[in-house]
Amino acid sequence: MTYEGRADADHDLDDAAVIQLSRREPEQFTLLFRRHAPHIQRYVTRRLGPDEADDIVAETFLLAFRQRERYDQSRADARPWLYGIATNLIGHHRRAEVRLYRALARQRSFDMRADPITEPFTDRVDDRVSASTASRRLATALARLSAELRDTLLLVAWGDLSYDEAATALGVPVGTVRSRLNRARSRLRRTLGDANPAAMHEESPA
Amino acid sequence: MNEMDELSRFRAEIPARDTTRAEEIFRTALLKDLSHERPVVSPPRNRFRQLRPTWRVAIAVPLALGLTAGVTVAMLPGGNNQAAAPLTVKLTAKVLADRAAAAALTAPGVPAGQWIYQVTEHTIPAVIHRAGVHNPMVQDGWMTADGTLNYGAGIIGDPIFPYDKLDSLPRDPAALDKYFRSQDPVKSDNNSSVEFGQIRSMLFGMVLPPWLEAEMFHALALIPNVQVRQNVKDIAGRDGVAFLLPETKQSDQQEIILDASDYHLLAHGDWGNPRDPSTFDEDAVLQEYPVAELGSTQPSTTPPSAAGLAAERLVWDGSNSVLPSARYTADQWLYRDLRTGGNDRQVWATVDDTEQAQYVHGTLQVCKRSDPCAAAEQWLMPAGPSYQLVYPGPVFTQAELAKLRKESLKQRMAALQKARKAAKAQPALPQYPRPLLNKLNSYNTGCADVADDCNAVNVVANMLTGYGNDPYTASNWFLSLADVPGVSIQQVTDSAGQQVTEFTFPAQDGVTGILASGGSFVPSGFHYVGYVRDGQQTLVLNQALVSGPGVLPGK
Repeated sequence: MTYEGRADADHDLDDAAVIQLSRREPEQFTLLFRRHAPHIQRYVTRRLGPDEADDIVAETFLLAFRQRERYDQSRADARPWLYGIATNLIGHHRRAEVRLYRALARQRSFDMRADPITEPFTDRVDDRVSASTASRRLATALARLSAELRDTLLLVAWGDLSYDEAATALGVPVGTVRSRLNRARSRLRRTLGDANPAAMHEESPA
Repeated sequence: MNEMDELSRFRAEIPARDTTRAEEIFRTALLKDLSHERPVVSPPRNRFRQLRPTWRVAIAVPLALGLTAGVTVAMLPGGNNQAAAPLTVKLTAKVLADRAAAAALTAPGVPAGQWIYQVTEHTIPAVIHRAGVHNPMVQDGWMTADGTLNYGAGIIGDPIFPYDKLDSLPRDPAALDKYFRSQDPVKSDNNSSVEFGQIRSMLFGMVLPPWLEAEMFHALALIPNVQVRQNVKDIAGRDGVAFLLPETKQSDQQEIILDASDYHLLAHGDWGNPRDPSTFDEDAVLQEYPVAELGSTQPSTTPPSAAGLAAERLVWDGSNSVLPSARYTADQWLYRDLRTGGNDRQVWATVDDTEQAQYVHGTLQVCKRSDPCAAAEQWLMPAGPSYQLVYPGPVFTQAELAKLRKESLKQRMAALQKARKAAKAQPALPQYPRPLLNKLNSYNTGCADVADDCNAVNVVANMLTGYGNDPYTASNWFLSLADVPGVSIQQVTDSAGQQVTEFTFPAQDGVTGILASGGSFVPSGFHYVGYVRDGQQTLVLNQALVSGPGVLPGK
């Protein structure tokens, strides 16, 4: 089999084939970058902001490149693998991520400061309301989740991964993904509901 | 809408951006990498490969390139809150807890719904810091003591436990610890961090009754591995003594700092890495005291009035729409069915009420403010601030936006900051209840009795009836109404048979009552119902966006 003339014929190769090809022709790996970097960059930006995202995306693909020999060729779609690496790298910035959620959680209504992460992408400057309530409460909830629950939840909600794909990304059984999601979602519900002083608590003290 | 839908809309405005910069970084690193890789047999074929220097064999590929800040950690001696002063008396956690608890018990309790003014200082995330914001940052804000409402910025108002259930918490520190530990059953090498974190959130995020605050300190002292660190300073430079939980592999170092002389709460913080000041995150409370109303900085222990409490509940409902609905634009048409006494009036008006339409003897008559008909038209919004003043529109035109979208992040931020500055220079209504009331009272609505804020009451009724409002803004006007001298509230049945809350005003002319429903802590539960004038209710029975004048809703 020859790959002559295939260098830019990106569309007829699945991810596994591109990775296979890149073992002999390293530059082919940039096809994988062009294919998936925009989505992964959006995912990372949503968690850490635009400044960190460029570096993390670059490093994700670099680490992936270095591990390409070990890629499981039965997986045609490399997204779970790449999201897994990106999520690990985000883990190094866990403090920064939580601080950003907290900074948003501290922003109150009537306040002109918006979410520092979405700020560069905001079209209105008078969004006094939109930075309040719902966003603030989600930020509060996300800040309170443990890293593993947050990773699982956001891979599914923002990475658009299926439960199976999230399991691959995180290297855990799919049952673990399911139970983590349940826990994360019930926490989220509780925090969203907690602002309601009349709401009943699910758990009561021992 | 469930929590997953809300989550998927959170920060959804971030687009899939240009990856040119990331690709540059990637390619540069890749090239560097490739120069260390063992040779492959296939000959170089394209530009990319020709850039490659000679192939060399490298046994171990260095994994840590240190591309991202979090990978390389600066090892710096000591944190910024370690002082070298010698200790005189060694405090144990138990002794510190006893002293802090005793101090807590001397503080007066604060009634639910009481407004609290708070000034706080924070270290801030590097991302915002880089955007040119001073670090640490001092902010102030108002919150109600039951955690329902908050304005400005602060750290109260994040209740992790329902206020009305606080009495059910055990009055036993060990049982409290056990309960907090049960709140986060995540597998961790350090269960103490969960307890410590929960107590931190309770102490700083809520206004606790004195007995509970005292129990919290006792509970802190019982947490395994909790230490006391003396002679510390908080970020504001105040002398303190801290409860400290050391870091473990899976959890951060956490601190609660108390005043060194009277043991009241000063600050709390944590460290991603205790040796790296850039991973330090602290919130310090500089000032905190009860005030009479939102917007006031004068200390006052006057409890909130019945009208004030009712308004707070309406605002809660109005501000807790799941996500802010798309805002009206000034030129959209709203259909309204207004009932006064037994008479219904169907009227179409633009959101800003600069144009109205109604049927007269079967013919639709449309009237603009600039038309000769305007003088005879019965405007929904006869007097008060312009719609633009109440709802400042977007600062960018569609064309500007389209252009801006093509520019770099840096240019976008610069444009945004410039626009924000310009927006701040624009005239706007005062934010807080009393100044807003004073401003609204300056419009002439024909009141003889200005002292009772009669003009302001009329203007609020006008705006509620005549403009397209968002529930958050509209509900906030009730905080101003609750400030009118002599206002009272009652639960009444309106002329359409609904149970509503009436704010009744002492003025002899103009609007003497404003009706709203909600206040039951139901998200999006706030609705403006109508007003009372000359003893007669006018109710907005139906209000809906339509495509133009004369078009009925649903058509």
